[in-house]
Amino acid sequence: MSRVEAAQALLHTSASRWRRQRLAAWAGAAIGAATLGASIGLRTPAGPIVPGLIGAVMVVLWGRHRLARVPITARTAAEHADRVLPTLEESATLLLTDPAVPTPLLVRLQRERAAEALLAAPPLGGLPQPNIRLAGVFGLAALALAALVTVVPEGTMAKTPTPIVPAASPDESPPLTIGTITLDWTPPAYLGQPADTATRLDATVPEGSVVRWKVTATAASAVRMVDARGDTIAARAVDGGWLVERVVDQSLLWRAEAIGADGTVAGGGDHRLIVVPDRPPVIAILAPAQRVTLDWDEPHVVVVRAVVSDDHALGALGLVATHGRGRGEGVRFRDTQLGVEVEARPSVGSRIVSRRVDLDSLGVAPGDEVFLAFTAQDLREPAANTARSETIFLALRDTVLMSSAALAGVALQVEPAYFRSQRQIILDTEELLREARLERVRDVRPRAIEIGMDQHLLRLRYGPLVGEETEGLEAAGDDDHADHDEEQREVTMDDFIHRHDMEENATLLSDEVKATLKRALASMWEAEKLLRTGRPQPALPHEYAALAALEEIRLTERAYVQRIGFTPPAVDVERVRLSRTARDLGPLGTSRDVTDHRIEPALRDAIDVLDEPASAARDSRLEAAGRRLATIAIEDAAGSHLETLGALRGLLDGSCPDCSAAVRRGLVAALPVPPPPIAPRP
Amino acid sequence: MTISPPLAWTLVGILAILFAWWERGTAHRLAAAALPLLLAAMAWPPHRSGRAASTATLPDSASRATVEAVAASVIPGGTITVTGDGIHPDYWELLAGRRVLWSDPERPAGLVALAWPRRALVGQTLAIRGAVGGGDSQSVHLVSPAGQRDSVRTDSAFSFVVIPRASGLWHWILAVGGGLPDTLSIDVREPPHLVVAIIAAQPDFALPALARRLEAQGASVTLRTRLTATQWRTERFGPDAPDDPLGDDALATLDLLVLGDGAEQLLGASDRRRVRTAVEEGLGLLQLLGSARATSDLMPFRLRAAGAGEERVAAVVSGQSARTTIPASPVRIDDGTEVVTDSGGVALASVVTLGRGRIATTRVLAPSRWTLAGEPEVEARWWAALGGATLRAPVGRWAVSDSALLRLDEPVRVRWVGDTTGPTLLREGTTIDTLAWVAADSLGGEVRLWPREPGWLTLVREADSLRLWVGGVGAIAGVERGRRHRAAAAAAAGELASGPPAAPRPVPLPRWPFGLLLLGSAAVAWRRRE
Repeated sequence: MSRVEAAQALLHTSASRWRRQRLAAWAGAAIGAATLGASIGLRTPAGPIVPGLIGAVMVVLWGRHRLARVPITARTAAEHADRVLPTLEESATLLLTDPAVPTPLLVRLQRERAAEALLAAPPLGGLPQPNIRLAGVFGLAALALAALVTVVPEGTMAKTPTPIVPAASPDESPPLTIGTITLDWTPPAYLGQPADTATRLDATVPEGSVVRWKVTATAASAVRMVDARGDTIAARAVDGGWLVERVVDQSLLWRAEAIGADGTVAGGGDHRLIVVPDRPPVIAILAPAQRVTLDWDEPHVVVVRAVVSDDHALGALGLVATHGRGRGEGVRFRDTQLGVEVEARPSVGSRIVSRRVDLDSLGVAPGDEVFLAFTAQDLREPAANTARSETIFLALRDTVLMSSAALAGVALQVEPAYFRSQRQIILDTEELLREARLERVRDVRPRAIEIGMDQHLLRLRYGPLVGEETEGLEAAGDDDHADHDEEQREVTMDDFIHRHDMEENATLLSDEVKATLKRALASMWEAEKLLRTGRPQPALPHEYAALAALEEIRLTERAYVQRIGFTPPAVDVERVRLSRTARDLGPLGTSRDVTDHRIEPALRDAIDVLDEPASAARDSRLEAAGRRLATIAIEDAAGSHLETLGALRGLLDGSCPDCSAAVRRGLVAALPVPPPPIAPRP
Repeated sequence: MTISPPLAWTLVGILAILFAWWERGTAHRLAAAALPLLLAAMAWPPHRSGRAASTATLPDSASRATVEAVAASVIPGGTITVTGDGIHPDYWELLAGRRVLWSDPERPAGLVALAWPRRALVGQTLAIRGAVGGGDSQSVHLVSPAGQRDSVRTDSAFSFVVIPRASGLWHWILAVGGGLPDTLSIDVREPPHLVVAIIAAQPDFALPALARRLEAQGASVTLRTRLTATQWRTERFGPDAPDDPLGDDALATLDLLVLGDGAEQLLGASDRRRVRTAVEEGLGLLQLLGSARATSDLMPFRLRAAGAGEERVAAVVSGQSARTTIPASPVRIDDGTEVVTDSGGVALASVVTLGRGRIATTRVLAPSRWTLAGEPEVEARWWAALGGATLRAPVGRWAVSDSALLRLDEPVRVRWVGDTTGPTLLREGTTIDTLAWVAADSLGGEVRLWPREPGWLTLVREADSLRLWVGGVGAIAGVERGRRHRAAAAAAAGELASGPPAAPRPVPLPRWPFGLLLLGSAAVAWRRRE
């Protein structure tokens, strides 16, 4: 082997040795990183393996990147030799050329000299490459840190983020969690139902039940039950768990929360508790028909029957007879309580009841009317539900008023506005005359004309009923007039009764009614003529005549319509009618309080602030929306409102900052479809 | 290398002037010759050098510059072959005067047409319409902002009805078959604040119900009800409702005045004059009609009595028929534009225009009967229809076509209806630009948007602002392709020729006089030199 070849071998050997050293240094660094990762992982739920592997892989990838960027070859060794051995005269790289390749003489000579100098020089030391030192230092530091992590007790370490659910470890305290929840209830005693236990936490219970939640929780110092309205009931500790007891009278959304010793709270999910209210009895009349007219010489006996039912059980049953006597506004009513007989019991909660009503025992006279209504109660406690049936109208024909008998037979709710308008015209006229007498009014003419205009409007409203041609109508040609004549109006009761949209209630007026109406209209016409020419005094008799004619019609129709469950107050006729004053009209100018009339304002406000950064104002709106959403969730079991509530809670407590999209979707889904807006067309 | 005639002629002109300067004796003549040449060269329309061709081909989705160049390269009457799905519909006018050949390629599949309103009010019923191509039946899915999914299977047109529930900038997601979903964005706002006055000649149920309905949507309402000959009750709903709604100032601010049955007769002559003037200046007036009446300043409808007593009508409101029949006054409204009709087509409410305002009247006095009968939505639609036909028009507003394609680098025109004075700002991201009108007339103007970045952009004027969502480059690509396809089919079928004439193109000046001038000048110069 020539000197040149020996020198080349020396360079290759050095390069090889340095590569091994560098590899060893990076391997040490990887081991150090793995050790450090494992020692940190031991303190976390992740365990030692994954962090250790992550540390090792990271260092290996780093080292590989460094090795690929700075390779170590024989040239590296030659360059290093040139730097550290001046005797080589910067010619060590010449040694890397192939000796068999012909080269100039000068190069050959210099290569020989370099080979000789290299062989004569002391062995090349370690390669001063920063990579190796860096890896070495990193490895040592990692090992030292791992040792520190392992040796130092956990309590003295910097606190790492607290996981939501601590890892179960036999040597650590158990995490704060809600365990099992058992829900049972005892219905109110009057229902006679046994206690029951829910198979699901979304339960349905009768109104007034005593509901008990039994909760088990680990590591809890207290447990409470929170409902959607924000009411909180602390659970009391019982053997092996916690107990909450509550009487429920309306549906609610609830969840259980466990409170740790350090104040942390672990909550369960939201659940619905649907409360089924005890509904009032329902009464359906079987006989007789709703309106019965009896001639005086007929037997004054009526049998009334009804079926009464309740969702649980019935209590007291009865019949109320209201005896009406008198004419016009002088009618007086008297109530009498009657008992009923139970004919049959078709089912547990229903009865067929009847009563033979002897009208003579009520003291009826010709022209009187009797209104019958069943009443029923259930057994609800503390206050029973009460129901009242529709009214049965019994009329006894008045043998005296035979002339208007044809108008009787139908008890209808008279449209009060029309008749009161005529009365009001009289009141206005009399008031005007009185003020004129007291010389409070200098010129009666303008006000008389105004009253005349009222009389005009009123007459216009009645005119078409008896076929009068409408005034002020633009002439639409002779043909149109001819059509009008042909279409001579067929006078119906529709025009001055309140039909409640029931065609069967509409009845043709008789000729007598038409004649009376025409008489009234003639009087109105006279009154209007005098009023509009500024003569209220002579108009007054005509106004009265018109009112009398209208009253004549009305007297044959006694108005008595009583709503179920509503007893109207007695009418003080002397106080209300014909008093000439309007002192009880209430304020003539009112301003309503400006309130938020938007549909679901809480939900809308929350949608508006969802994208804003967290703040007290935003959280307040979101909490309000949560309360409203909880109410909706109770009523609408089909919706996904519970999921929205969970997301909303996560957004509020910061555990789910990315939930705003889900909350927005849920809030919009909870909004009802709004009515079309009244707005200018685009 | 191509050289444009303007450049060539300009060079010739400059050389001629230099030559004339060198040959001083003929400088003035040569300058006289060169100057027109120079002007002619500058006036010459740009086109590619070389001889005009009789045929050319346009690539698919060619840009405007390409279309212009190809059109210029083809002689009038020449043939241009359009490939693919064609070019932007607006560019077809550039090809006027040329024969267009287009072989219908494969019909585009997926979503090929789409139209939806870009702005709406809470509660408004909107239609999202579109069409799918390709001939096969495909599923179209629409997902609302609430996450609710609606779908339809169709091989042609489809339509979805949506009702926004809350104000804000909302996205609906539309997907056809397995294709990429498209985002349909709508700027939803609360109804505008209205100021309304209602005059009732006697207490009734319908008008307070209307007042409460208006109050529920945020309006300020004054309800005056006559109780006796001398006593009126005034109720104010909502904030800042006017105390005296018939005062001059109040009338100027009112959006709507409602006169109940018989209320007009209670107004004095001066009140009627002022109301009439206010209507001519834009106020909306709604008169409820209980019986036939003569025409008047405030009731410009010819009314004809019909039948005896009230009749029951089945109304058709906003295209939907009510199940319940309700009483209506026995008159016919002979004039005006029908707003609502009954099932037989007879007007239940009509409107006429008076100056800048509108007057409407109706035969139906108790629309609350619908609510009593279990159809509250009909009553709501009733008042919305009457209000929409009558209310004072807004001062100005933006209007953008439902079918506009709003995406990156896609120009779109937006119309402004109203006064065009004052600046128009465009807010796009963080930048704010001032826009100029590209067209304007007495009714408004148009601006041209060329979105530079995707996302929301806002057009702002003092009276109104418009927020529009701009999609990325590939947004609604199928619709864009379908639009080009339809325009190409129309053009190939010759429909373009029957359309309005193309914009006049500049006519080049003839070349030969300038050539003769040049030759003559050169000859004179050469002779003088000898």
